[in-house]
Amino acid sequence: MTIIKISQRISDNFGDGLKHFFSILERVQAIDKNEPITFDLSTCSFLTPFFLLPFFLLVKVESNKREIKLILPNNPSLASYLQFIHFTSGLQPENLTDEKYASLMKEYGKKTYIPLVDFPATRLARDTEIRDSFLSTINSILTQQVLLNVQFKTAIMYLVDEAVNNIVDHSGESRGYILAQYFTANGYLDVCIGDCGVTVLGSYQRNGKEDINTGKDALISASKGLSTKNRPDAESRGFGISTSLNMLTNGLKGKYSLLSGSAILIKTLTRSEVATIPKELHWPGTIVGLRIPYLNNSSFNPADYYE
Amino acid sequence: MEVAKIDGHTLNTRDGAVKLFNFFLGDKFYFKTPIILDFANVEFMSRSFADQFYLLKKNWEFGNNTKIELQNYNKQIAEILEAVSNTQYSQENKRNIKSEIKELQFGELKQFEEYLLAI
Repeated sequence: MTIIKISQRISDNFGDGLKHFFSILERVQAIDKNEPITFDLSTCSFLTPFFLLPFFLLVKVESNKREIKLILPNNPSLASYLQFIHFTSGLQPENLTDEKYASLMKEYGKKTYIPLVDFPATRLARDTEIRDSFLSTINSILTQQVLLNVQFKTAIMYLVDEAVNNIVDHSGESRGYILAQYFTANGYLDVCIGDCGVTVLGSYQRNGKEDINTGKDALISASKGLSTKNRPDAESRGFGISTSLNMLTNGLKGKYSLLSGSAILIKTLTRSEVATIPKELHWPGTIVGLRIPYLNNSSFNPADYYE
Repeated sequence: MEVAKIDGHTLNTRDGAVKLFNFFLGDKFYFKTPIILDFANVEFMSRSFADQFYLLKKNWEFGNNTKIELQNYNKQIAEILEAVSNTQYSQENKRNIKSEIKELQFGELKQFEEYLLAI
């Protein structure tokens, strides 16, 4: 049994959550694939969505291969937060009755975060219905928490919707995951959305885009809005990333990260970069991080960024 | 036809647009009458919904030689529908957009961690 101790505090610096996640991922990759692992969070005092969601997915992926144990934090407020966001299992909307789901979600309207939701990502009618209802609820909770004006509300809904729909359209996976937290003092909302699917590169390759053959090329193509489909009469199933990137970073002065397979795309007001990451840090899926600042800027209009 | 009663107050997914069209595809009555979709009480239409809706609407109008009219839609819906109407069929052109993205490569975790900390 290998014990991996998680850092006491992960700062709210945009890249810090991913930095800690990769450091754990590197250690996990170096451990024999049959050896059990214990992740020790006992001394943790502060964790953010940009760490928690990727870490949750790592635990999920590794649990399919080996025995995994979690030692939860001793810090009572962090322990209670993790319990409240359903960190160990994720909240599956379809396992709740409509009444229970509605009342649970209403509780979150008074908080500054939403639970870690493990939502169905297939196009089956029942899954679509669940996802539609969950998206409406999440949108309403987030906007209730942040008390945004209508333009910001539209922007948040657009950004979250686009990332969730990309999982449905491109991941090839049956589940997607979302976690969000509003940092009142800092005035921004952090949203993390992910899957354990085929990656952006995998999606292009499954659709015959043979000229796109590295993770980096795939993210560059997706950021330009290139569709995975070849048919001119098909609906335009691009990833919609170009609009999200532009709206979030140029319109809202926010930050965007997209980790997929062996590449990561980072976009801020001053950075526009795609990096190939060390090969041992390959992530089997896609994780989007959105930092959405609340700027009380009445001249911001999401439609200015629709492409 | 009141869209909010079929798809709710936020129109989130492609499948929501399909559901809306299936609603009148299943009823022969609608083949003979002009269709008016009432978007009263609909707060938000996602890009995915709009994209699928635009395509289905166009195919329906072509196949049935009749117009689908939209009413009581808010500014956001008007803007997103306008945006998708401008981007349909232009995917291949996007290959030619000059990339302004800087390309980086990290061989080691330490370098990569330093990069992440600087964002």
